[in-house]
Amino acid sequence: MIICEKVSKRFGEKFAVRDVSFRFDKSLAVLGYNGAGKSTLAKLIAGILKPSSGRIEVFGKDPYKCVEVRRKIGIITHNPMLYRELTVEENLRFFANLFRIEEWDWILDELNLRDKSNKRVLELSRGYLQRVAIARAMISNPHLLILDEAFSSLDLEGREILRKMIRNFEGSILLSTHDLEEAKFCRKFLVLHNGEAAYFGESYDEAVGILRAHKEGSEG
Amino acid sequence: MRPLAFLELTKKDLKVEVRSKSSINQMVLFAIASAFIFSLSVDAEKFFGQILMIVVLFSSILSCSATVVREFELETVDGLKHSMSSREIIAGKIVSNSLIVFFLVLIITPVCYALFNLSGDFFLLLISLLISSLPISTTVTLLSPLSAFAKGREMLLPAMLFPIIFPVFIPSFKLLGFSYAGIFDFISAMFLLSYTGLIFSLSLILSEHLF
Repeated sequence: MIICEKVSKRFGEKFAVRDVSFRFDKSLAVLGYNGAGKSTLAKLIAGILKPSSGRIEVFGKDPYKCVEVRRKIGIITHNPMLYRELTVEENLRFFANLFRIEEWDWILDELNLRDKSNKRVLELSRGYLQRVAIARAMISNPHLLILDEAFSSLDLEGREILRKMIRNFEGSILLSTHDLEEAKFCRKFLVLHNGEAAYFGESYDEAVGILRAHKEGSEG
Repeated sequence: MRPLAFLELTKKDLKVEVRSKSSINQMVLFAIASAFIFSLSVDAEKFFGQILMIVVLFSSILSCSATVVREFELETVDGLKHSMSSREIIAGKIVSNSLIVFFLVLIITPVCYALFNLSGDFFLLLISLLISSLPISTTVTLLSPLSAFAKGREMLLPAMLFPIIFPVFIPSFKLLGFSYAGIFDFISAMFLLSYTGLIFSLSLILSEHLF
């Protein structure tokens, strides 16, 4: 169970996330346009950022304070979190060693990266870089997978591979996106607008309606 | 803390450093250039201990802070935080930075020995400089995350560093001076190693606030 209670995150005077509350077990789609606070919320849940106020609980513990919980979380963001000077294999081996995982190279086949394994990360295209980032996040068999705009730079094949991995994933998923089609499979939906929760519930149509209304409101 | 985890980080850092060569090249060139200038301008044989410490200190600031700041700038530290505790990260960084500074000392000592026209015990001098460099690399690594996002980080790091590193100077000069005469100053060496241990322990305690 992932619980957020009145969570806020402030950078200086500006609130990136304000008084957001939700809880989910299987899957949550966080919807919102650019600047809504999706990435900040993803980083808060992942334990990368410390909330300014409120309480976050992932599998019963605070992810910011507990490394054991963070080790159960796989996160994919727009930033691949990889070492550019190392090869794909060296990067993945490094993370596998940190997790003490000996059998890890199945992930190369899963993401069709075998022929790129000896290439340095800085030589890869954006799409392949994202695939390696997915491999990094999945290598530890996480219990919670956080995907923050994970589909954005993938090509068609990459998108299909990621969709398949998500379908087969047995843990919890938090999908942060502005692509409404990608979010359809989720069981719960959270709409963020200017850092605040505009909707939290189980209806996809209602979430999309509120998201569109906010867009028209801000444009009109 | 898992010893293997922080050694993995050390191994990775050294590999990245060897591949990129950015910090090592910068550090070695700076060290050799400063040693050369000092050898022309002051009585280098008399002040070699002080000169060596200045060269090692500023070269360490350049290289040790770069390896930490790079993790923050590329946000790779977020990936590390998902697989290691803050203690393991800081411990790994201290070990890798100390090894990088050791590498510099191994290069700069024979260069200075030749440039300053020294005739003392070379190996004792080398060991003394290695010991003297330990508190410097440890302290720079501790302070680097604090200055990583500061606007004037190049100025801020030395400003924060000097008050903390100040107690190290006198024992280092003594250790280097005695070693040149062929005597190993055990008390100064123990002080420097203890100071390193103190800063290392402080780094572990403060690690949650650093990474």
